[in-house]
Amino acid sequence: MTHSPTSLRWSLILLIAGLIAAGLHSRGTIEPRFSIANPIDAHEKEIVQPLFSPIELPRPEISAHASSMAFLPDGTLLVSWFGGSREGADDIAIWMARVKDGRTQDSWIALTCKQLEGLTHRVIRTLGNPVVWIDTKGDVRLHVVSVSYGGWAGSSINQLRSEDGGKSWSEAQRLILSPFFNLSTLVRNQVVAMEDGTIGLPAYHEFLHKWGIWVRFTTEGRVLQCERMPSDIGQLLQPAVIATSATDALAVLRNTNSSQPVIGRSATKDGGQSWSLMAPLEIPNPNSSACMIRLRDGSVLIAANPLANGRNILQLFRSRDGGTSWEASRIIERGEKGSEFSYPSFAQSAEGMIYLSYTWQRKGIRLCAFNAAWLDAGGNDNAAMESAP
Amino acid sequence: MNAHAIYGLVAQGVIVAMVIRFVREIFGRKCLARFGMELWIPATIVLLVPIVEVSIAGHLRGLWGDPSIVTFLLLVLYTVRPSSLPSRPRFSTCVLVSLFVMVPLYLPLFVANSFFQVDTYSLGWQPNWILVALAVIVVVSIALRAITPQWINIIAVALIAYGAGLMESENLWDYLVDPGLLLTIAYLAFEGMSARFRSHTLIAESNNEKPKGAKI
Repeated sequence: MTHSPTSLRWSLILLIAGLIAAGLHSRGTIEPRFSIANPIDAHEKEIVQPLFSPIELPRPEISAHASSMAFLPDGTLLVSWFGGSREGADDIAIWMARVKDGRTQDSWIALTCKQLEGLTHRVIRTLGNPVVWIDTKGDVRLHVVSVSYGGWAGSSINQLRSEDGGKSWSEAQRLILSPFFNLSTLVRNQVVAMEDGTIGLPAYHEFLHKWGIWVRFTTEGRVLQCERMPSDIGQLLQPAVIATSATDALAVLRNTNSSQPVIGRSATKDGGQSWSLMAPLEIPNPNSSACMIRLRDGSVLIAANPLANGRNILQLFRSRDGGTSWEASRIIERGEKGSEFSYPSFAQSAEGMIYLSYTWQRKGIRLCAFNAAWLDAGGNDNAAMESAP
Repeated sequence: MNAHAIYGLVAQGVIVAMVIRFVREIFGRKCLARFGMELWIPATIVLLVPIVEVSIAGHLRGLWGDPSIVTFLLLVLYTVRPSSLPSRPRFSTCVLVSLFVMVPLYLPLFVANSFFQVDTYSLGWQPNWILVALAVIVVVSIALRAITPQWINIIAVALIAYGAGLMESENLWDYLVDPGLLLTIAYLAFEGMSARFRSHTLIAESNNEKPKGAKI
């Protein structure tokens, strides 16, 4: 192979320029650490009277699913979900509602397929799970699943920012997380804040095989890291992650393995840089999404469907030792076989009230609020939503 | 429209231009000669004209995403001036790239997670080791006279594009390779292997053939 020395010299200069440019762009980051508030004494700081109240949300569409919640800077709760004629239809849109003082203030269509097409400059056939969160500037951030062609296995994650509380969106960006046509990455559960201002997003992959992934990115949307969560009990997805210390975090995952139908578990001890195998929980899981939150008193709460088959019971489970042992807590919904109370989502207000939203019979999103005292009070075997006033 | 979208849409136009040139080469120049400005007019139409409210480029972007910078540059060269294309990679290079890039990059996606924990793709998020490896490979290849300046230029431009954040992806792999490029390299490796097999077979047959009048 022959070539002139001059052209080779210029090529090498160009290569050095490229290596420098790439090296500067990929500058290393500091060791990731979770941002975690110290637990407070619940009885000193929170309302001690047990409180539980359902909150009415609008049902503007025939079908609704997969809610997500976050608190706006003024304390208003922002609830989002996807709704339309049916899951996977091209009329599916992301809906949002604002809830303040236990009442729904308003609701609106926050994002349609056509809007996302215009924002991402590519065809969008349908929308899926939204995850809404608020950044340090108070802007609403939305991570939403979209499908251009095929089913959910062909889906991708889009990230958007809104400076007006979710009414309109600036230009969107697609998260590229897979080398094979970026196929099949989805989100379901809430983000986790890191000490350095970056964000951890629990996501999952479900093309051919299913596994949880941990994505860490800057608030500008630049991905810094994407790690897999291992499994030895089958294919796990839809991780929900809570930090238990600056370096440790726990993930619980939906389990698709019908021969061992229990909630999967993974953990990290290095700020999410690597995730290890952990024995699954003893809480049954009928291939259904679970959510998890660390309460202000330091205890951890899971909402899940604790059945080997069916999603007709939605129950809370609580751990007071950072997720090692779990006790059954209050039942939120119980219905006949075939009923569905699924895809729960948590948020906790600055005052300590815990909000739980979930899919109700695929027809709407239900929302309820309760405090730690209501959990502590225990109670009978009745479903809370049935016996609520 | 941001730089990511502009690159993505233009890249789809270049893919279409490449397909048209490829068809022309197969069926002869008369086939698509009436397009005047050659390939760029249909490519621009593809880029801009909406079908069901989205341009064809938008549909193609939704279908297979954006090509890598390396693929994009090769397609531009092939479409605009095929004579300026860098020389075809050697058979051994194709085999090495197929084995050492394609297999670890894509295999974890197709086998059970618990069996394959190595995720080579994740190296591309903080790719200092890839950059070091790339520099070493290029230097060794120059010493072995196994790389041309054109290939070095293409790799360098891909690195500069990564530095500028031209694509949606923040993973260096997505600037260097994509499934289409790697499948092409794998095809070239397979083609090289079958050519070698054929030539070995021909040599063996000719050795076995008794030449007329030859003494045994």
